Amino acid sequence: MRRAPSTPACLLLLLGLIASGCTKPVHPGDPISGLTREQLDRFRRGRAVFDTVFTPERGLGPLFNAAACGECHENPVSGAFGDEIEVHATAFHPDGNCDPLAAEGGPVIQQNATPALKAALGIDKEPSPKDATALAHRSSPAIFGRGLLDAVPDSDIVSYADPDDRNQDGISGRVNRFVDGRVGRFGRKAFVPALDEFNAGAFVIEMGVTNPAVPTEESIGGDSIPQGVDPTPEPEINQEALDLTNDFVRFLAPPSPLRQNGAPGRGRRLFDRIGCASCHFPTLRTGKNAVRALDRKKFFAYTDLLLHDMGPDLADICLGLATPSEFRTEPLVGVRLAKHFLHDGRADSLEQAIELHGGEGSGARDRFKALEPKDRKALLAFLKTL
Amino acid sequence: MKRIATILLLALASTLLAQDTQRQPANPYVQGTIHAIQARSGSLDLVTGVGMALRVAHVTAPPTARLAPAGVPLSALKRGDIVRVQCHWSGKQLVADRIDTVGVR
Repeated sequence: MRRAPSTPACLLLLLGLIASGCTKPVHPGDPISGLTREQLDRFRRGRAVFDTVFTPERGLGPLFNAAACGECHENPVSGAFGDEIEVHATAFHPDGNCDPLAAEGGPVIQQNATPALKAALGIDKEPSPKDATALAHRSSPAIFGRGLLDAVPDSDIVSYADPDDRNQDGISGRVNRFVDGRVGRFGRKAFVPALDEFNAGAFVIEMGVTNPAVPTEESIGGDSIPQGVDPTPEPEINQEALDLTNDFVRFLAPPSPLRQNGAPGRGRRLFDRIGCASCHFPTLRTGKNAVRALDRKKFFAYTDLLLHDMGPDLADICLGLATPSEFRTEPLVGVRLAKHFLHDGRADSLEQAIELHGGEGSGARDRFKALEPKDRKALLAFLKTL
Repeated sequence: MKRIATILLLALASTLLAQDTQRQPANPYVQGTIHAIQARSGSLDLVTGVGMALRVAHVTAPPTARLAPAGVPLSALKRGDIVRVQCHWSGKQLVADRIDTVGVR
């Protein structure tokens, strides 16, 4: 018979396990901590769906931007950044209304076509909608921590808004709303209310893969798909594949910030002092959630999920309530892994991205530019720990 | 639970928009932003969808359609308003039974 460990030994072992659990860093691509075995299994199986390369025979197209989720969210791990740039278009009317051009194929202009569509129509991408008043480029963001962002209560987001800048700090965040009126939070314009809806829509608009939540293909600039071009019956993936993908994205953790000694630690304080944290809220908190690992968790977010006016130089398309110059505060979690910055990847460095902030971001930008070189360096060093 | 219900309803709305002859639910509803409205002919185009996959739902509104709050004529609606339309099927047409204003942009 094996001897049971003594009580002090058990205690030491337990303390050791707790300590290692508390300090173990979360690497990019890791799941959030506290998942059940079953949830971890779904995370891994969901990653396999996320990385599946679709072909026309398996549902790809007829219009698409990429053949896999993991084609655009890939570097250095599944769910991270990509170097693909998308094209979006909408129409901003003089009365302030934004037309997402749903009747002309929607706001995402697919940049690829299957061989069958090329043969039928002689096009190799979706034509630009004739009624568009602006086009926009969109880079592929990392999607770390999106499940946590999804679990932040709407009421919290609404409470952060200060549309009339009543506290007169020059920051006046606004809530965006989806076409049905719900509070938006996902996408560069905070248009989409929920993560699973974003994913279900993305299967269709990015890959032309229909699913039970979106069982119809995108039109081609508003026109129907020619007969015989899309032989795969709808939906092209089943509910289980969609659910698994949702679980992979939902459980994908925000990577732990790197240790902050010296300059980064000072940079963190400067981040607050010059006003970056007025929009890039360092932490948010989830509400009640059926998944224990997402239930009432405080987490690093560096966003307020609100729209802010970023000035005319960055302005492109409207979407929902967002005017062309309004963008959602970009979550900075994982930004140390990015190669390009801002919504369209136009900035090649964090410093350049800060200097391109306008509108409500101009105060923080100017204070950043006024910092001593060593302080600027410290702030950038802090950002490179995220 | 509320979110699941919402998704199911959105999926339902999306399915309703598919131009097929599958079995049609008895009392569907569509909630979305008015894209175009012709009050006189009772024609209503709503932008709806799931995520960034947006679709236009065409609904016809007979003179008997009720517009909540009561007494407001259909002509008071304009592009950009958000409405919830309770409908029924008439052949392949969605016909409005009741229209509620959800929000004004």
